[in-house]
Amino acid sequence: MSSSAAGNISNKAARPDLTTRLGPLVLKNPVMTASGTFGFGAEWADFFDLSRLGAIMVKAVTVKPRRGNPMPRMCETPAGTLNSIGLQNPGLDAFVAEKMPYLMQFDCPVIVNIAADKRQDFIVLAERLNEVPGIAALEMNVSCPNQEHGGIEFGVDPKLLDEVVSSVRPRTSLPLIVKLSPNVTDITVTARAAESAGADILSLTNTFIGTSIDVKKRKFKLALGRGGLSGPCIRPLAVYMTHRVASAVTIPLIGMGGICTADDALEFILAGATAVATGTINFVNPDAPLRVIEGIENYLRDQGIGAVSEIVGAVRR
Amino acid sequence: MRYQLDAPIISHEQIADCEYEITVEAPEAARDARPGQFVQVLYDQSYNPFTRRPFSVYRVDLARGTFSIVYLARGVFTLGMRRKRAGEVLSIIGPLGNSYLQDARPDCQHLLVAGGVGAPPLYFLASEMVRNGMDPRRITVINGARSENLLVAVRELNALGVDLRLVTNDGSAGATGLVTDLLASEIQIPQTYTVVYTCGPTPMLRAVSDMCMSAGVPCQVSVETMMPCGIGVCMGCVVKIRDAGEPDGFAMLRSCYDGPVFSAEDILWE
Ligand SMILES: Cc1cc2nc3c(=O)[nH]c(=O)nc-3n(C[C@H](O)[C@H](O)[C@H](O)COP(=O)(O)OP(=O)(O)OC[C@H]3O[C@@H](n4cnc5c(N)ncnc54)[C@H](O)[C@@H]3O)c2cc1C
Ligand SMILES: Cc1cc2nc3c(=O)[nH]c(=O)nc-3n(C[C@H](O)[C@H](O)[C@H](O)COP(=O)(O)O)c2cc1C
Ligand code: FES
Repeated sequence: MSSSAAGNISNKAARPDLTTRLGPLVLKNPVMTASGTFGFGAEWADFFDLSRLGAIMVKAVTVKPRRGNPMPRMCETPAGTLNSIGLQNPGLDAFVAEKMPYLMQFDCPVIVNIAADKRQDFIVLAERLNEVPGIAALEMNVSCPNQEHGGIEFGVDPKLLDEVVSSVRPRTSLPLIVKLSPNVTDITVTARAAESAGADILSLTNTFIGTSIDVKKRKFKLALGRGGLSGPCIRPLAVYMTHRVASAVTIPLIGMGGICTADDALEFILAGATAVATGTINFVNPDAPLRVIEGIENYLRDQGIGAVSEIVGAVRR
Repeated sequence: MRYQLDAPIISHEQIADCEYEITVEAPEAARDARPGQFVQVLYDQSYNPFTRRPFSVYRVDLARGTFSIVYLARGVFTLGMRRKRAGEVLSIIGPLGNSYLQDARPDCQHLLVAGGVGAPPLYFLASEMVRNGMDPRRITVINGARSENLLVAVRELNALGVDLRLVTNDGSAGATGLVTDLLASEIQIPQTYTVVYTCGPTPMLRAVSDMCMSAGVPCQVSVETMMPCGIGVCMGCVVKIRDAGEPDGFAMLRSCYDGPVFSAEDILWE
């Protein structure tokens, strides 16, 4: 799939085709904003027109409003950040009533990230959001502790993951994305579990669990004593996992983890991701997603490649 | 309107011990900035430091289209920022956050309480009050620091003609002690209707808030938290704010978006 267009001179002047097909979900370009790093979109009004994005993945929505974890919840680490926000969000009702109307103004698919600590709550979220107009897909955040199973993350145990995805699958006709946790020994195992339980698309990765200590105060820098690591420091890990998962499943992938530039995004695409998301970099450069879209387009033009879909998984050995 | 832009550095000078003022050209941001607002700054795209840091808008020059910030060089970000030279650019996002609300009562005595690098937004507030025609004698500024060589904006505040009281822990300038020592005498027997506006290190803010509340004096506090994004999306800067409509009577609000200025009586300090 990669070789045909290379060097095709007649293609050079034409505008490369950025259309992205993720199973049932079709996007105008492959670049989205990762959940939790873009709020519910309204904060971006001054920076750019959201219609330019491939899709928006909103902050996790839970059944009930959540206040989140105690402060401090974030700290900087080399080329990254640790966070333990604790899913602070206004809850399902307020999301539907207050956030969706704003998001629907834009010509941009809205992917709703759903999180829960019990299987039943995932079902409630899926059923309710299935009825809400304007939602393009659901993304299950399975990196939350499961209260029914001693606090173990849904996403690290293939059996728990299979159970929760299987029970959500029949409750919604929306495309179902399962967001993989990287905090596992072999991510292809959980990836296959999610696929066989009915996921249409996989996104990866969520944050890597880590911690950081203030040696002067002899205290953890985060109130919870640990958090999720994100940013450029995790990129090589996430690209590798994307590559492994790409050869383990047949459903399409959304790659993320430290993407700051178009070249970073292209690494994920060449490794096997059909689409990508910018995360922590949105905090630093709110215009990063646009730069990534432009950069991918320029790369394709310079390389004489007609469509972004041609280079998915096209890394050479 | 919030802008993301590369602002040319017009000047960069040391103004006190470990304290520097950077002036940048950014006409729209300078025009829109209100006292108490801040900008998120980045001077390098090398991922080290990776995230931006917040700094209050200090001196605005509308004619030249510039504004400045003052920073205390104390950690990886601010120590590295000293290397930036006039002619280079500073990446800024702003102006961000809410601002101090100037009490409108004509008989109001405005009491500005600054600690260390908390002085810049309060200087901006005083200068806006004077620019809008307020008699500078209605403005009292208590400006404190550990010692004289850490005081910010002394010359500038004097030039405004406000009633300026200095206080240092070591007595090297003005009174010896803490800003709260001076504040006590100002608000214990308020001669007139007084409103306090404050910015500085958190322990000072708490002490100032407590004193104002027991004296029944309204007090607007600019809180200092980490601000990983500054644009309202990460939820890493929240403060506990009283809200009767919420369960347990409080909400976790973003200090970068709903703040940084909150009313002292609403803040539930942790
Ligand atoms: C709204 C707002 C306005 C600010 N305005 C100014 C200003 O005008 N001038 C100025 O010098 N500083 C200001 N600050 C604080 C400034 O952002 C910090 O000094 C800066 O982040 C330090 O970064 P660093 O990497 O150099 O230090 P670090 O190595 O991160 O920290 C050095 C020390 O400062 C403390 N610290 C770090 N960040 C903060 C923070 N955000 N708030 C409180 N303490 C912190 C750390 O706990 C540590 O003790 C402001 C903060 C806020 C929230
Ligand atoms: C502050 C913060 C909050 C996040 N919140 C969520 C969330 O609510 N749901 C979720 O699935 N992922 C969340 N994430 C994970 C990101 O969506 C993303 O998977 C991860 O940060 C890796 O990408 P990055 O390195 O580009 O940031 C959050 C990340 C950060 C930094
Ligand atoms: S600093 Fe990110 S929400 Fe306030």
